[in-house]
Amino acid sequence: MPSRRRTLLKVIILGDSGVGKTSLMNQYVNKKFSNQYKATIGADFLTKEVHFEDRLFTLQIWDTAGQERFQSLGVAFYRGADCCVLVYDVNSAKSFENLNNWRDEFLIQASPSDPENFPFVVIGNKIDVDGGNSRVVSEKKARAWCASKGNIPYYETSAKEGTNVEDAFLCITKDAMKSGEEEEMYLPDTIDVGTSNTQRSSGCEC
Amino acid sequence: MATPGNKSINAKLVLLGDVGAGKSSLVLRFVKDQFVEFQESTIGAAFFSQTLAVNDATVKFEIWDTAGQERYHSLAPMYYRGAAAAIIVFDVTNQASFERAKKWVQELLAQGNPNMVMALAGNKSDLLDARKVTAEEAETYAQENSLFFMETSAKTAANVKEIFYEIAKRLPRVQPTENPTGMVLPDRSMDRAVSASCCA
Amino acid sequence: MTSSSPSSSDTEFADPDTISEPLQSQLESMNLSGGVTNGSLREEPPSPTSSGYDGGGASEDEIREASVDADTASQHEAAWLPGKRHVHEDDASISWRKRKKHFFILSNSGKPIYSRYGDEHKLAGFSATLQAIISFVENGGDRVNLVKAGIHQVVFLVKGPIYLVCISCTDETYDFLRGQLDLLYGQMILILTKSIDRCFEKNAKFDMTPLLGGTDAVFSSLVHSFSWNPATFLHAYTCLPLQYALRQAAGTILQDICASGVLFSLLMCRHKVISLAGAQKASLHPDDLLLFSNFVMSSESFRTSESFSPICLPRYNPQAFLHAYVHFFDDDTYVMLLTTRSDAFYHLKDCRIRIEAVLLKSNILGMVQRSIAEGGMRVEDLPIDRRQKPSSTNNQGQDTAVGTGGPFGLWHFIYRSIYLDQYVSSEFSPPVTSHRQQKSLYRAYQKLYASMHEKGLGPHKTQYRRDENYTLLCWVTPDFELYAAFDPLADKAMAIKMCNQVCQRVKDVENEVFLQGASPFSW
Repeated sequence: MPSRRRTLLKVIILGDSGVGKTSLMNQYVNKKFSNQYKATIGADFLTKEVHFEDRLFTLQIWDTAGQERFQSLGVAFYRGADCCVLVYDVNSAKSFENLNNWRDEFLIQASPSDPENFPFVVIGNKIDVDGGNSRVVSEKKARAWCASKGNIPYYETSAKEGTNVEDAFLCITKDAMKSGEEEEMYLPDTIDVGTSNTQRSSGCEC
Repeated sequence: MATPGNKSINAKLVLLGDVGAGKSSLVLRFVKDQFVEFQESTIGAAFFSQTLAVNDATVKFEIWDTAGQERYHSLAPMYYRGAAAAIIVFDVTNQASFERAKKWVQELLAQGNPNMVMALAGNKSDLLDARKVTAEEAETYAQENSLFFMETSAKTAANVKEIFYEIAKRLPRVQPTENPTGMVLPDRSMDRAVSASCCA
Repeated sequence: MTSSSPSSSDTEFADPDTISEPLQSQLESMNLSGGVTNGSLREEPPSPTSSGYDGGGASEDEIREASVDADTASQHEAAWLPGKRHVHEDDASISWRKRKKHFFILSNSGKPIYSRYGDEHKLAGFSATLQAIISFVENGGDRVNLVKAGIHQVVFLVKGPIYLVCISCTDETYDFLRGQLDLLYGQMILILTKSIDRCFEKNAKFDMTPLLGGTDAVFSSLVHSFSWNPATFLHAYTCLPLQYALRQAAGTILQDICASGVLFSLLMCRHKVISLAGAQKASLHPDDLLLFSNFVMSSESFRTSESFSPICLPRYNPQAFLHAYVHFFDDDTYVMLLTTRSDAFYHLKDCRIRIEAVLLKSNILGMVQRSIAEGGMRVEDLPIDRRQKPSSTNNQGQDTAVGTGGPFGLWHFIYRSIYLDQYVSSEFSPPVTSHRQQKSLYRAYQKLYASMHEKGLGPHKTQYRRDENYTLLCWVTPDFELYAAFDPLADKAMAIKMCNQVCQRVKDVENEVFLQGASPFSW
C-alpha cells in the first residue's frame, strides 16, 4: 500500500558540449563512473530519487550530447519531458549565448502544451575555474536573461559546490509538479448498450 | 424477517476510498466477521449482501466494495449511481488517503442523489501510534459537509457494525417508487433486439 | 541549432546498415554478457551500469532461480510464488543483470511502465536507454525488431505509444518472444483498454505506471505461464476431461444464458475450460480466453465474493470495456459472464444461480474435482499393440515399466485440433517430472513448432528430430497437429507407430477431452 505517491519526472539537460553537464550530473547522482555511449546514441541516462514534502520523485535525467549530429533525435528525446535544465559555462560567452538556441530548439521539438510556463532552470557552471578570473558572463547578465524569459530560476555552481545543484533540481521538481497538475487523463470507453447514460460507446465489433 | 409494522428496506451501499484504506476489510468484517492482515487489492468491485434489523425496519444492504485503484476512478459512477448510502473510507495513519476521501465526498455531493446517506469512516483506529489524521479534523470535515463520521477498526471490529447501523437508521423509510437499488432491470425482448441488430 | 548544416556524420547515423554498431555497443555497455557482432567476438569492456542510480547501494545477491521439484504440473504451479519478486533490484544489481529473461513496458517518451524484475521507477534510466535505441533506429527510417548481443536476444515491439521489450538468453525464437510480448500487451489492454493511447496523445508526459497499480500478480502469472502453458504458443485452449453428458449439461445452460443477452459465458476449472458459449456471431479468441482466465486466477480478490468488473477483450474489441461477472463455486471452478451492459449485474447473478442449480443437480462440481484428482490422458495408459514390438537389438523403451514413460519411450504429447481451436496434452510422467524438465520440453516443442510453421517455408507435414535430450516427432495435417516427445534412444519406426496410436486414442476419447460443436469461431 503506497503511503507516498511516487511520481516520475523526465528531465532534459541541455547545453553546449564542454560546459560540464556530465560531471555535474555525475556529482548530483553520485555515480562513480562516467558513461561511454553518449557518443553513440546521443545521451546518457541517470536516475535520481528526490524526497519532497512527503512525496517521492524519481527524476529520469536525460543528459544529452549537445552535438548537432543528434539534433534530429530531439523530438524523440524531448517527448514527454516534464522540465528542462539549461547549462552553460560562465567562462564561455558562446555557451551562454547558445542558451537561447537551446531553449528555442527544445520548445520547438518538444512542443509542450503550455510553452510560456514550461519549467526551465539555468545553471551557470565552473564558477571556480581559475579562481573566478576567467569568468566572462556575469551573474547579473545571466539573471537578466533568465528574467526576460519568464523568470527562469538561476543557480551557479562548480565541481566542488554540490548544494546548488541539489537546489536547482529541487526547484525544478517543484515547478514540474505545479505545471503537471491533475486533470483526469484516463477515461476509458465502455461498450454500453441499452443504458441511458452518456458513456462513450464505440459500437460493437463482431 | 419482517414483522407486522416492520418495514423491509433494500439499500444499495457503496464503499469508496483510497487503495489500502480498508474498504474490503470493513465489509468482510461486517458480512463474514473475518479479518486478514494482508488483504489483497480488490479488482473491479466485489458484491456482498447483508441484512440488519434496526428498531423499526429490516434493512437488506446490497454492498458494492469498489477498488480504490486509480484506473477505476472514472468508472465509479457505475457503482455509486442510485446508491442509497455510501461509506467513504480513509486510513487514519495516512494523510493522503484522507485527502482522497475528501475528493470522493465532493464527487458524491456533486453527482449523487441528494438523499444519499453518507458516512465517513476513519479506519485502522487500532494503530494508535501511527495516527496522522485526528478525529477532530475528520469530525469537523464531516459536519461541514453533512455526513457523519466514525472511527472504525476492521481488525478489532470496533464500530464496524455500528457504522452500518447508523446508516440503517438514517435511511429514509419511504422507498422511492422505482426499483430501490436504482438499477434498470433489463428488458429481455429488448436485449434480443439489440443483440440481433448489433451483432448482425 | 536551428540552422545546422549537415555534417558528414549525419548520414552515417541515418543509414540503417550502420545502426547495428552503435546499438551493439549500447547493449554491451548495458553489461549483458558477451559482445558479438556478426560472429566476431569482442572483449567486453568493464563498463558500469547503463545508468547511474542514486537511491541506495547496489546489491550483490546470489541469483535464486525458482527451481521446484514436483510430481505434477499443478503442484509446481502452487509452489511458484505469485507477484513480483526482487522488487528492490535495479540495473546496478548483479542479480538483476543475470536474470534470464526480462520484460519491460515503457512509453514512447521513455517513461517506465512495467518491469518483470525490479522497481520500475528505479529502472527509469534503463527504460530511457531502451527508448533511445528505438528512437535512434526509427530516426533512421527503420524499425528495430531484434538485436542479438552475445547470448542475449533483445526483442522490440511497438504498439502505438507503448513500447515492449524482452531481453532473453533463453534460446527461444524471435517469433516466440514476440508472441509473448503480444500477450503481455494484450494483458495490459485487458486491464486498461486502448484508451490509454488517447492519454498519450493528449499528454506526452503521461505517467502510466499508477494505472497498473495492484496488477503485479497478473503480469508475473502470465510471464510464468509462458514456461508451462502450451496455450501461449498454440493459441488454442484446453478442456478439463469430463464425461460428455456432464459437459453437455453445462453447455446447455450456458447457451441459454447467452440467449438471454449475455455476450460470453465461460465455465472454467483453473485454466481449463469446462464449457463455454457465446451470443450469436460473437467469437472468442483463445488468446482472449487465456488472458481473461489468467487475470481471474491471479487475483485473489475474485474468490472472496461475486464481482462485477470492467474487462477488455483485446481480440474482441480492444477499444472498450465489457463488464464481467465472476463467481467461484469452489477453489478451482468459476464462471465468467461477459456483458455489454453496465446495469446487468442482477441479471448475471440470476444466471449464476441457474448455472449453480445445474451444477449441483448433475454433481458437476464433484465430478470436476474427481477429474482434477485423476488428471488427464497419461502416456502410460496408452494401449500397446503387442505385435508391434521391435525386432531389432535395440534394448530400450519397450514396456510400460514404471519410470520410463509410455510405450516405446513415449514421454509426452500435445494434440491440437485445428478445427476446434483446442488442444489436449498428456500429464507429465517420469522421467519428465521437475518443473525444469517440463520447461525444457516446452522449449523443445516451441522450436519444433517454429520450424514447422516457418514463414515462407511452412507448413511442413512431418518432422523427426533427435538430440541428447529427446526424440521429437511432429505431424501437421489440415485437421490436427501432433507434437510428441520420446526417449532419445527411441526407435524411429516404433515412435511413428506410437504417434498413430496417440491420434487414434485421442479420437476414441474426443468426447471427453474436447468441447464439441462449440468452436469459438464458428457458432
